[in-house]
Amino acid sequence: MENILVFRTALPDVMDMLFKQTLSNDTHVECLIQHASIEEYKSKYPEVKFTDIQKTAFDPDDKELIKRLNQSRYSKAYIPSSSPYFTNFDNVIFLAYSLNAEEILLYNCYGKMQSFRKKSALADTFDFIFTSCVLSIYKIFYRAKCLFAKEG
Amino acid sequence: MCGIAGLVYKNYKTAEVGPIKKMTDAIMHRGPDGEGQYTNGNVALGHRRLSIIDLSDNGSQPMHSHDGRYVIVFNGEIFNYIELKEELKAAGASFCNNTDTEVIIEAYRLWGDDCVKRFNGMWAFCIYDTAESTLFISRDRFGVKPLYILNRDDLFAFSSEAKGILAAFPEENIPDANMIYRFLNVANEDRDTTSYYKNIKIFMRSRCMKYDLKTNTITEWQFWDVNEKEFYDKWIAGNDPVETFRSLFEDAVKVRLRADVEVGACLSGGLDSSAIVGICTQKYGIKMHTFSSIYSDKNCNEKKYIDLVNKYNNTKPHLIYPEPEKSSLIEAFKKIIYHHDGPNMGASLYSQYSVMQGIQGHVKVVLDGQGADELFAGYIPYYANRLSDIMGNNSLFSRFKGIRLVAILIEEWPSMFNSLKSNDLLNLFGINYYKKIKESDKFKNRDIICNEGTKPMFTKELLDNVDKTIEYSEMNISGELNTRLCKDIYRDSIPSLLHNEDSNSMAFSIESRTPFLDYRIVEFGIALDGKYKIRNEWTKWIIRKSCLDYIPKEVALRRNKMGFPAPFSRWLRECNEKDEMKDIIYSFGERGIVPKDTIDYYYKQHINNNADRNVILYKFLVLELWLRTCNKFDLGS
Repeated sequence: MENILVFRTALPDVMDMLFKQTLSNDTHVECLIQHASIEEYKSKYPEVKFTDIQKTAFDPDDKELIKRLNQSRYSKAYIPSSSPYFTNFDNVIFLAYSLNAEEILLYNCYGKMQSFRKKSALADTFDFIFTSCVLSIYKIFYRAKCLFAKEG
Repeated sequence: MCGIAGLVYKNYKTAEVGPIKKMTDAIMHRGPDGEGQYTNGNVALGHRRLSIIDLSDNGSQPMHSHDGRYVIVFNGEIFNYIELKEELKAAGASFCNNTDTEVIIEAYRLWGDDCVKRFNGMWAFCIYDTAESTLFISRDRFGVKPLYILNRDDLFAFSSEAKGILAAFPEENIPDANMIYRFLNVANEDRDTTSYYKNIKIFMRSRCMKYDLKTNTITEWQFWDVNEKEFYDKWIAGNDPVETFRSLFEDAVKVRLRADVEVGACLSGGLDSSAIVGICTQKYGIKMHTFSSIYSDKNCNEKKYIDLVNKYNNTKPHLIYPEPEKSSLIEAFKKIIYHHDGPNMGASLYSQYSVMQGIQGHVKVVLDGQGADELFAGYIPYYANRLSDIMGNNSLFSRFKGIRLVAILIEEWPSMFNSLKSNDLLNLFGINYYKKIKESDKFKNRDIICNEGTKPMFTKELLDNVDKTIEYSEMNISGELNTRLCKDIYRDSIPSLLHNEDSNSMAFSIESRTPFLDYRIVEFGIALDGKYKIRNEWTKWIIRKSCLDYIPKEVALRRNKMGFPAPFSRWLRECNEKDEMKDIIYSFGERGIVPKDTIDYYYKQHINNNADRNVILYKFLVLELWLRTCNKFDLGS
């Protein structure tokens, strides 16, 4: 049976769409949800296991929650959005990265998905060094360009 | 530019002048230079005239064709009417006056329903064909000119403003709960047929309607739509984009200078309005009247740039100081709501309203830069979409380009970093570096502000009684930036901004013309590659590049923008009427739409300087002011 994790990060219509898509006989769906909404969702989707995050927003540093969730392994972690875009979803994404999820899927209001697989530690380190260097070089060039433009 | 109205009794009751006159009287501000009514059987048409082209009585409406077959009421301008008239004359058409109105009639006679495809302009009109017993109604491609419709079992009515319909049928003054939900939620107004009034619908842009008076049946269709490939072949293929844009833009301004009255320009000090003023004065040799709003607040003051442009072009400048201390701000908001036919999205409308007020008495026609930001990516959040396009290539080179774009954003507009999409940043940086950036002090504060304000916006009563679905029609064209811009132009942003522009300008009998929304420029813009829009630190790159000689260097090279700002945030805390504003905002809590404690929470947060909540508080304020003018608001109905 496929173990799926869903973050409750979208309005009800998108959550409906996502649950319809993920719920089947071969799946077990767990949903992380804010305390205020849990009862409403429990009565609507009895087949989903709802886990109360005990907060109003997702916290990537919630060690207790991470520890609890990491007792399970998920094949997919869905992060739904009520808009086509994913701005300000960082905390949820960071939290998702901390879990034992093979694949993270951003799921937008049209049902379009974008997938991420966790990279190896080596690839992550390479990314870190590469990005740090290139970004710093560009910043220096840009500052210099602005300085010369001002003086010019 | 005028106001129109029409009425059809479906039960074939004879139309009297009374109701149609009530309708046109309600929109008198749209046309103070003349009025006319026409009735024939169960049909009535009405018009208020603002004389712009052919100031003689020949231009009065409702206008009859030379053979009496057609009767037209028309609001707007067909800017290419001179060229069309030549074409029609060559085909044998005859004309009695010099108006563009008569050109529409003869174009309809010759080309039928497809005539609208040849029009370059802004319009809402109705042609009554007495021989065929039909009404042909059309609205321009982007909805510059408004048109509202009431279609009941017993009658069909239309008017340039909802208040025209309400004047004759006051029983329809019923707020639409779905629209209130949308107004407070995310979606902009004017994105579909829903208006602020339950039974009054917006006649959508780019559409035509044929009303068969014999059978009371309506056929509706869309005459223009986004077709990226067609636009590319028409305007981009084989051409130099910079040169093409320059010539299209110059011509768009040129045809919008056609008038038998003086034409001025709104000047915000930004790139777009400055480019328009530059072309008018330097290319066409016109000494322009320019109109600008100036605030004492440092963050909203554009005087430095406005002065530069005026000096550079040797214009006749008019500086307008819209300070609420000098007049009642609440009274001004009430007037704006009246003219807007509903609440409105932001306090910046007050600035635009004040500018239009200042224009009255100087000129009847102004040019305005509306549309450039949406067409050519003038807002910084569009960098997010440009980054997505760059990252879509998935190569090492695109990764370098992406990082360069992010480096510029961090250096220039760090507060906008959060508008970039998490998935793109993850692809670009990898998880560890992304985490490092997000945890740096520079971006942490904003996250705290975003996360702390979570209060329920709506009462359960409202949520149980509204239709929460908003149709998001897909609009897929190449590239994410162009797709977003296209949605903003055609659906999400421009329709609402044009509504503001029309209601504010017509409140003072001013015709506002928007050269950037010339359909040729829009088609060009939709098909233009994103790299000509956002390039390194430059937004609207193609406008800067092609109009460099028309604008002062300081304006061409400025990277910040304000538009028509209004310091509503400060007014809420400091202005003379702050207590009255508080009372209005709190009394909105009694309506059962937003929970009282949510209103209290946002208000206290703002007043105590814990967060800037001026946007949502403004919405509460204007919504309450508007609801006070309506007949009833029943959530259950």
